[in-house]
Amino acid sequence: MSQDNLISVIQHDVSQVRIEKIASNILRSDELLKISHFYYPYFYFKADCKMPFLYGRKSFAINAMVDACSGHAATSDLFTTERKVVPEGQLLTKKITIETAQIKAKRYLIDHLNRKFRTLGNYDILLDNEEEAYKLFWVLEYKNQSIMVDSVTDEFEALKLGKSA
Amino acid sequence: MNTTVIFFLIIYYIVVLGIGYWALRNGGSKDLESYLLGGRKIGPATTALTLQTTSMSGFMFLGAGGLGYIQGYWALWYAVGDIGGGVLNFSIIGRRMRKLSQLFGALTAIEYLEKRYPSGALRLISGSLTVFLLGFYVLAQFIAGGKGMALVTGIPYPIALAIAVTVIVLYTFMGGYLAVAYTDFFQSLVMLIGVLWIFIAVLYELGGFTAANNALHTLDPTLLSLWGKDLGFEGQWGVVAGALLIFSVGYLGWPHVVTRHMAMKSPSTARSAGAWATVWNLFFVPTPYLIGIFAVLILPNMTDPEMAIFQVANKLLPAAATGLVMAAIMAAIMSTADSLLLQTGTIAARDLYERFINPNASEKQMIWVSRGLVLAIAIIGYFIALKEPPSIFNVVIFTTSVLGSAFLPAYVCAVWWRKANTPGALSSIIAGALTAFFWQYLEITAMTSIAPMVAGVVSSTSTMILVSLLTQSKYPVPQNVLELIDESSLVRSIPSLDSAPLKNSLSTEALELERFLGKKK
Repeated sequence: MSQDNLISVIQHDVSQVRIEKIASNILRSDELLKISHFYYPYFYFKADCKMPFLYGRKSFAINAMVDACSGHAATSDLFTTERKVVPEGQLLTKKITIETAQIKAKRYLIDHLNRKFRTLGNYDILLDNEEEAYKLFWVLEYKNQSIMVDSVTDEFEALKLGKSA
Repeated sequence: MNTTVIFFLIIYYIVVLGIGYWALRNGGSKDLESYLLGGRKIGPATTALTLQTTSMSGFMFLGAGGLGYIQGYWALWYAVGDIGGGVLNFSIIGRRMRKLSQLFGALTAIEYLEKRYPSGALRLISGSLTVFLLGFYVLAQFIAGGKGMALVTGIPYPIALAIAVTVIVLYTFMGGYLAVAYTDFFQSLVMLIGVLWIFIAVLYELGGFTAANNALHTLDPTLLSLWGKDLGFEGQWGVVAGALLIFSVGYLGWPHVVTRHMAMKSPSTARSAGAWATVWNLFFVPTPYLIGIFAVLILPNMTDPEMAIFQVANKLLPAAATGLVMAAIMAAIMSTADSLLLQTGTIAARDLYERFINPNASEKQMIWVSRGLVLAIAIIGYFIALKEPPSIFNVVIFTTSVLGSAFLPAYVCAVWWRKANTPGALSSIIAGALTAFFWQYLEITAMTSIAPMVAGVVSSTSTMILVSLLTQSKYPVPQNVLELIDESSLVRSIPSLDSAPLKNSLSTEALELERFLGKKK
């Protein structure tokens, strides 16, 4: 039996109409069969970083996001969320715990800062304000192809769902 | 039969086939994008030299030499335009076209036109016109190859032709665009060494540049003039403009050349590629014309001026050097012929077969259709080349004039003019092609002193502007196309946005979503 969940959804500007319009330009000759949407889970952290700078330490804040399914981490812009009730069938299941996400976020941020500042610095990274947030993805199923569309950036990605999808 | 020359040619053929095999092993035929565009990972030097060698062709060793032999210094008008052609091409459309073609997800130069000017009719007309003209152009390369090889090696013309055609088809078959681009790079070096070698031998024979010019003056002073032998072109600025335009801005309208932009590693590759092209052009381009001009002093009674460079090489160089020079000449011919064959096969397969006959063709199917067409065109071309149609110079000038006239405004306006719309582009292509064709067919140049290329480009450009403006309200450029044109004008990395459906690599989110949806079903 499907159950409803109250979740935080990242606010987005991309409407279904806009998505259909862009997608139809790419898959012009294809027939649109179905449009659905799903919510993808992330862990979101605000990190306070301290790095060695001359004779002192420089502080700055950075935001990180960890994909709660694959465990991939990335830096992130600030965003706002809204609370929303959604059916369980539209929620992707989290595959990692918050503890694992913290480790991954920390490791990623150290690598990221090393690359950014071209140093092998000894960073102090303090993660706080952990939050779970979901992002909405549209799935457009055409006769010959399916694509997913990011509701925040309107980026596309092809899905291999087979012809029956 | 000259065995030393044959030996050098065999070595040369082995090298190009080796490159073809290397390309095959390195993913040259992995998928459609790899086969048609080398996976869009070609760097600046290779991009520049494949563009230059593709556009130069056997014309440089036969047509250019022949023109210099007949007209003297007047022939250098063509060289002047040609030297600047590469940098013009990369500067005007290089970076923007690279970016826009990826944003559109276009794999051929004709598909790119359809995405920019949405219209099935435009693709059908452009595809058919291009296949016909490029097929004709390939023919000229086959004739050049067969004639040259037969003369220098002593092998009978039909066999020489068959060998050249077989080698080209084999490596094009194996590695697609990647093989073509890297063999072109190798061939550009062979061409440069070969042509400079002959030129040095010519200057040595004639006692230097000044002595050669003095001898020309004694023979016929008008050969030193910029108006041609007997001042035949005196005051004909229209013809001069045509000579300057055909190999400078003319390039911008050749689908087999502009494809090079689409295969660049990144949009910024265009800048360094422009510099590479200019340096190579400065050394290479004027030389065949100059050899032809001075050949009249070495071989004054030639019956076929187009063979001037071959005959001079044969006469002045030792057998081993002639072998290398012969390889250079074959390189010029093959580097164009392979690109033409690949483009003709590609356009026929993707822009005509897949678009209008079998829209559900798989990538593998498409590669095999393209290969089949390459083979078919090569066989047909071989048999027509056996009949020896008109001079190579005439065929090259005819096809390049029509191609340039038809497509130049369409490609340039695609990235530079937001108001260029579908009716404008369609009518411009038709007007340019018809004007250039009939200008030559009815020999209007003789009456007007205006070259077909000039007439064609003026006609297609004015049609594009006029029709686009008149039909702007009824057929505006679609909003999404405008957005992508704006994006292509910005100097920044290409967003993954619209090309995503063509990608095979899925992001982690897509992968997870696939799994999730798979379980749901």
